[in-house]
Amino acid sequence: MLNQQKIFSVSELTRSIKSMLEGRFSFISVAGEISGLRRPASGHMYFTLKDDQAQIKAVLFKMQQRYLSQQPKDGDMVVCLGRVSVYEPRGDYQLIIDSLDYHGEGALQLAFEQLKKRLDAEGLFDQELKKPIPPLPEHLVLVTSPSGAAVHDFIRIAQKRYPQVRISVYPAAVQGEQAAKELCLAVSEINLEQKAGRLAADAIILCRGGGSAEDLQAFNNEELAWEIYRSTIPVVSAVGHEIDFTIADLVADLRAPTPSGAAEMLLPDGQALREHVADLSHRMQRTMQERLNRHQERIRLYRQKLSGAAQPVDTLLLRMDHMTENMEHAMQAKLAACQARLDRAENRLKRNNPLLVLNLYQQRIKEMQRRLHRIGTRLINDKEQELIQAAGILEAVSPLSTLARGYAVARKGTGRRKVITSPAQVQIGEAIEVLLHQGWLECEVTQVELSSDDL
Amino acid sequence: MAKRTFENALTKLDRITAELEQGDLGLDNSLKKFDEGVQLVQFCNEKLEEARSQVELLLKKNDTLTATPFTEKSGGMSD
Repeated sequence: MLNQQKIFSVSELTRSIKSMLEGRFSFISVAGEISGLRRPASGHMYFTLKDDQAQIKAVLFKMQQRYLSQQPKDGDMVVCLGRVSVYEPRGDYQLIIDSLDYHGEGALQLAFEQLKKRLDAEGLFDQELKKPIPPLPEHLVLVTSPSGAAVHDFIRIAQKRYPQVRISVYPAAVQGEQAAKELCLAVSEINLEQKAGRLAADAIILCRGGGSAEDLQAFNNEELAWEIYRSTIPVVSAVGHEIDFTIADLVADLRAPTPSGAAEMLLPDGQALREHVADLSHRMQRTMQERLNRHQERIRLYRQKLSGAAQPVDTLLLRMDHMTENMEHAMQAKLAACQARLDRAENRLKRNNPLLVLNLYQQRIKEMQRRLHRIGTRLINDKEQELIQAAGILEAVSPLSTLARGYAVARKGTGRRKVITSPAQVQIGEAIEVLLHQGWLECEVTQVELSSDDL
Repeated sequence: MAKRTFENALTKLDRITAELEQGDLGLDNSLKKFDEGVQLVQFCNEKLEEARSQVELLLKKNDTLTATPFTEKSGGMSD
C-alpha cells in the first residue's frame, strides 16, 4: 500500500493550526504572572504570561489599555480575558488580551499560591512555631467587625459554654480596601497593650463570617501573615469560608472553621467543668474519708490492746502513790521521833556533868568486878566438891571395879574387839581374849556349851 | 506568686486528688493537701458560678485602648 497521507505545505498547515486554535480559544480567561513586559513606541504592551511550568506570549493593544484599573507590571498576578491568535509569518501563537483582571478568582488563586509558597519557604507555617493556647482561657480578644454575624455567633457560643470568659472586641474591617491594614493594626496594637501590661489576653481571634475568595482577601495579605507570625499572643483564625485555607489560617496558631467553631474549640464546656470539679471533690473526700476511717480503726485497735494494760497500770500508779504517801508519813514520824530523842538527849547532857557520870560508872564497874570475883571463886569451889562426889559414884559403877571383884570379860577378834556374851559367837579352836583386873589371857575355845535358857 | 486562675486551680486540684488517691503522703500532709483541695474546689465552684462577664469593646482613646461595654447594637448594620 502506498502512503495515502496528505502532504501539507507550510502555509496550509499553519492556516489549519490558526483556524483550529482561534476557533477553539476565541474567548478565554487565563491566569498567570506578568513578566518581561515591554512597551515599544507603538504603545502596545508585550509580555509573557507564565506560571510554574509554562509560558505564553501576550499582547495588550493600546486601545484596550484605557480600561485598565491599574498599570500592569512584572510580577503581577492577573487574569487575562482574550483569545489565542496565530501570527502566520512567524509561526507564533500568542494571547490577544481584551481585559486584565487583578482580582478575579484565578488571579487571586495564583497570587495566593505564590505567597503561600514564599511564606512557607520563610518558615511562617512551621508547626513548631505554633503557640499553645491555654485550655481554659480567661480573656479572649476578638478582632472583627463589631456588627457582623461572626461576633454574634462567637459570643453566643462562648456564653453558653463558659460565660466566665472575658471577651473583648477589637473593631476592625474584615473586608474591603482597609481590611488588611486594620487587621494588621489590631494584632500589633493588642500585642503592644499586652506588653505594656494593660491586657492579659490568652488569644487573639480573627473573626469573619463566610464569604467568597475575593471577600477574604484581607486574610491572604502578606503583611497580616507577618503580623500574626510576630504576635506573642496566640492567634486564632476563625474565618468561615468555602475555599480550603487562607494565608492567615496557615500562619495562625490555631485554625477554626468558623467563628462559632472557634468558640467551641477555645472554651471548655462549663457543665463538663462543673462535673469535673464535682468529681474531683468527691474523689478527694472519699479518699480522705477512707484514710481517716483506716486511722480511726487503727487507733481503736491500739486502744483495745492498751486497755488490758491500762487498768493495772492505773492500779499500780495508785498503789505507788499510796505507798509514797505512807512512806513520807512514816519518814516524817521517824524523823520527828529522832528529833525528840535528840532533844531529850541534849537536855540530859546539859543537865548532867559527863565526868560525874563517868565516875559513877567506874565505881559501878569496880563493884561488879568484885562481885564477879566472889561469885567465880564460890562457883569453882562448888564445882570441885561436885566433881569429887561424882568420881566416887563413877568408881562404884566402873567395870574396872567389877573386874577387881573377880569378874572377867571375854572378847574376840582383832582391832576393835567384840565382847562375847554367848557360846554361839565362837567356834571350837578359835582364839579369844579374856580381860582380867590386872591383865589379860590369850585362850583357845575347846568346848562350846549353850546354857539351856538360851535355846 | 502566679495569678490564681481557674486553670491553675483545676490543674492543682487534679494533682492533689491524684496524690491523695495514690496514698503515698503522710496523714498530716494528706490533711494539709485535702484542706488545700477543699479550698480549690470552693474557688473553682465560685469561678464557675460567677456572673457572666461583660463583653467589652476595645476602643482607642488617647493612644491607649479603653474598654467600653459591648452590646450587639454597638456596631452598624453592615457586614
